[in-house]
Amino acid sequence: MNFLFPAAFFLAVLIPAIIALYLQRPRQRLHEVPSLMLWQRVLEREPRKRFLGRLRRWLSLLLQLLIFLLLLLALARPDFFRPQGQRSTVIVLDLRARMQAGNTFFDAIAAARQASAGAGADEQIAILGAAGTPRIISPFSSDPIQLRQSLASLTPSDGGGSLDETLGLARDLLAGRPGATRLLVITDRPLPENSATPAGSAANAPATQVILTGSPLDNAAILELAQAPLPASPQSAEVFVKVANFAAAPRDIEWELRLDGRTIDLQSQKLAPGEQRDFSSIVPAESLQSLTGFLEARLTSGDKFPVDDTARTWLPVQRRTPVLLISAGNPYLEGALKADPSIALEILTPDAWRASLAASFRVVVFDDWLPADLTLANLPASGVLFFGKVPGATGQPLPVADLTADPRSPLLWNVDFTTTRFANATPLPPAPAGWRITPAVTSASGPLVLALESPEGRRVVATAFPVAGSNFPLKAAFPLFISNTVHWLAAGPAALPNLRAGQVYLPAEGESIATTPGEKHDTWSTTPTLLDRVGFYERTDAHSSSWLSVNTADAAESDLRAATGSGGLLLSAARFAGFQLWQWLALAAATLILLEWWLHHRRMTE
Amino acid sequence: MAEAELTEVFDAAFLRRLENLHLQVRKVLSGSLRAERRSRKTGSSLEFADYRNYAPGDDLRRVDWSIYARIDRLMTKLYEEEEDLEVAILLDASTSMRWQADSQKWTLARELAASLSYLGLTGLDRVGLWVFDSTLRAESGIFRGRSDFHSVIRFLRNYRPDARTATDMGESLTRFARMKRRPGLAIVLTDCLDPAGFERGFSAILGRHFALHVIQLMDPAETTLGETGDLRLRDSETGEEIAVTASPALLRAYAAEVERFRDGVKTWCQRAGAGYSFIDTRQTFEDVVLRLFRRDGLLR
Repeated sequence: MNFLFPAAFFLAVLIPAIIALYLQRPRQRLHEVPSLMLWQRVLEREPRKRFLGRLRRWLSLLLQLLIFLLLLLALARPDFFRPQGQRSTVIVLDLRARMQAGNTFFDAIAAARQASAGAGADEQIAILGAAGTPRIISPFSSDPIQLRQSLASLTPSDGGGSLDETLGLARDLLAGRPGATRLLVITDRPLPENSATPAGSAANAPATQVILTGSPLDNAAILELAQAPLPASPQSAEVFVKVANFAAAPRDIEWELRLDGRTIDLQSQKLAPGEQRDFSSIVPAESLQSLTGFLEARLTSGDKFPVDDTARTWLPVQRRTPVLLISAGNPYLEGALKADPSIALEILTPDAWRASLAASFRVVVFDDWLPADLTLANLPASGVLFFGKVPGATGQPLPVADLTADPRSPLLWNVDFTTTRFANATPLPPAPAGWRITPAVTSASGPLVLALESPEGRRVVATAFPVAGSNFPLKAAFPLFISNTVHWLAAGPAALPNLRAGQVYLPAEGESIATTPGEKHDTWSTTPTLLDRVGFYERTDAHSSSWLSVNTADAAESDLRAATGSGGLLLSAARFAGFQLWQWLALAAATLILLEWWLHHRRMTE
Repeated sequence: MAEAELTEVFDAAFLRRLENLHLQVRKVLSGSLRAERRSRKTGSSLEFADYRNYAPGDDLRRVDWSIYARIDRLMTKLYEEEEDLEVAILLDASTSMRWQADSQKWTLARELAASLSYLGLTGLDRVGLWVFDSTLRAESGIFRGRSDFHSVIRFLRNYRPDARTATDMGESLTRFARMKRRPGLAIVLTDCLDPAGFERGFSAILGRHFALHVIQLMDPAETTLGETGDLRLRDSETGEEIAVTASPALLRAYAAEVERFRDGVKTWCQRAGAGYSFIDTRQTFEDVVLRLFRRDGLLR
């Protein structure tokens, strides 16, 4: 038998103190009675009880010494079953989102505590957390208290992933340890065959033991939420939702779409067991103009795994775009710009133009006029649309024939040029080096509409024709073209892709991201950041601010039917049966204390 | 206890109720003065007793002329002599009767002694009080007539028992019995806690042809200790001590022993032709006098 804390036996020096205290207990109390006559008759009749009475006095001391010895043994932590020699154990605790379901994680922590309680002079235990990427919860330690404390504030991730990387790390850690090694995995379902016994494992691979917690549960989840501009109305958003039923029976699943906390859509469908189905919805442009764009899809019925009941995405805020038109008077252009409700138009005549005015506008439109000192090298910071006259254009007007339009161009959504006729067009100048040039409309004599993007992100659209030089203003496509062009030039913050919880975000240079989700956050990071919790994370750079949405979005995490743990009740029974010897000793001491207390209050001991 | 305290239980209403009661004697005894009690003697009362042949000198008013008419013989009617009775009230004043300052045994015993004295005095009996412990300690003398009731109270009030005295009923009651030449009614108020036994003393009284009524008083605190654990029990009379571990089982055994002792006294009295009353000091004085004594045949 080993003792994990043999120093406890030094406390045996207290035994004489216990005996001394016992001998110092209150003596017999004096009680006067009218006559001893009847008492003497009783005592003569029951001599056996007198003997037991004397014995009872010593029984109290015996019980107290026994209680002390049991506590001493419990403190010394004897262990009959521990093999001799050095041991190393790595506990891999599954921290994936699925462990949040029901009591799974509670039971897993209890199992980890029980396993870590065996740490001692001859056993070192390390604890790793597995949630996609490995986490070192506690390095190798022989201190069970330290190990327990490291488990105290542990919470599972909201993301999924594989245990393989963590298991590999655990095996690497154990490979260099002396003595027997053991890998203890606490998860909710059996390990895949290749994870439990990796190919090519060495003969001295650690003994692997898996403790399963949790139990199969029915669950419904929102696996995906995405949005995209509606082709027919780019300022509106089309929302896609994927809902899944991971239950043993068909189930009516209702979900709602909420924008900035307000419900904008509610749908319900019966889904077969295991079925995943896509739904779509429209968020109209009007809804986006005065809101912050926090879009959530949420299941209305709760379950025991709430983290996947909500998915979120951020819609770029679409506020009215301030546009400055420099024109001597162009009713067609003015009309087209005013027709778009998302445009706030200001008009100036050419003689009122000053370069400093452009800073207040997202887009400046030069209508067949150019400031004398304007070149492509000193354009305003805002987007610029040139109609008719383009800086650097020196060529003579040429006839237009054989028009070709690029249907993928964002300037030409729903714009048809096939019936448009142009009087002539001025050849457009070459773009500065490094600019990205995208011809939207070309003719046999050259490009008619060019979309230009500088390396810094500045955008310019140049047309080789003046507004009045064609029948284009008379076409229904004209206001669409103007609207598309202005919104492309305004180039607001793009919607960022949704991320899965547990992924690491790599901020670009000059970019920083909040380390916690939600609108209230104190800490920012400019380094790779683990986004472990679902929610909206704010990111900023020098020019703009936007929000990154993080969801669980993992069918493997949401499908809880595969959990094979024994459930809380059986695990509790197993924990009880798996008491350490010192715990049994402490329990016996507590029982004897109760017994002594009971005997004392019944005056059977003194 | 002050005289006022002793007499405060005897208010006018209670005394009126007492006057409807009379001491009852199981035996027919003889006295020396005329009173309200029948005696073995024949005399001048209105209670017919027997006939005898006429002898010269007999009072002709007592000749039964109707008998003479039927059988032609002169017969003289005899009447029971109504004589007084000596009522001896013996009060145990040993320490066990007053073992705790708040014990009601001594107080109740004195009240009962006063009450029984009053009944005797109102019945024109001769009443005497004796106090005993290890021996006969005090004698009040003989009282007669209601007017002597205050003397009874004064005697009871003025008696000061010794601080620690043992009980010897055999010695005390035998001495009492030897002093008496004529039988009467002896009422003994005691707890009977005499290690030497109560039988010798009671037998001595009965041997003098006294009608005996034993009133045994016990306090509830005597049947239980009120605490448990290791105790040293000290005898209130002798100061002797014994060590006991008062477990619930031992306390139950002691309570059973007390019950057995009570039953023993009662059985002995019944077999000896003596009256017996047991009084728990929790009972009220009125309840004892007006109900219990009538039930036990001491009063009628």
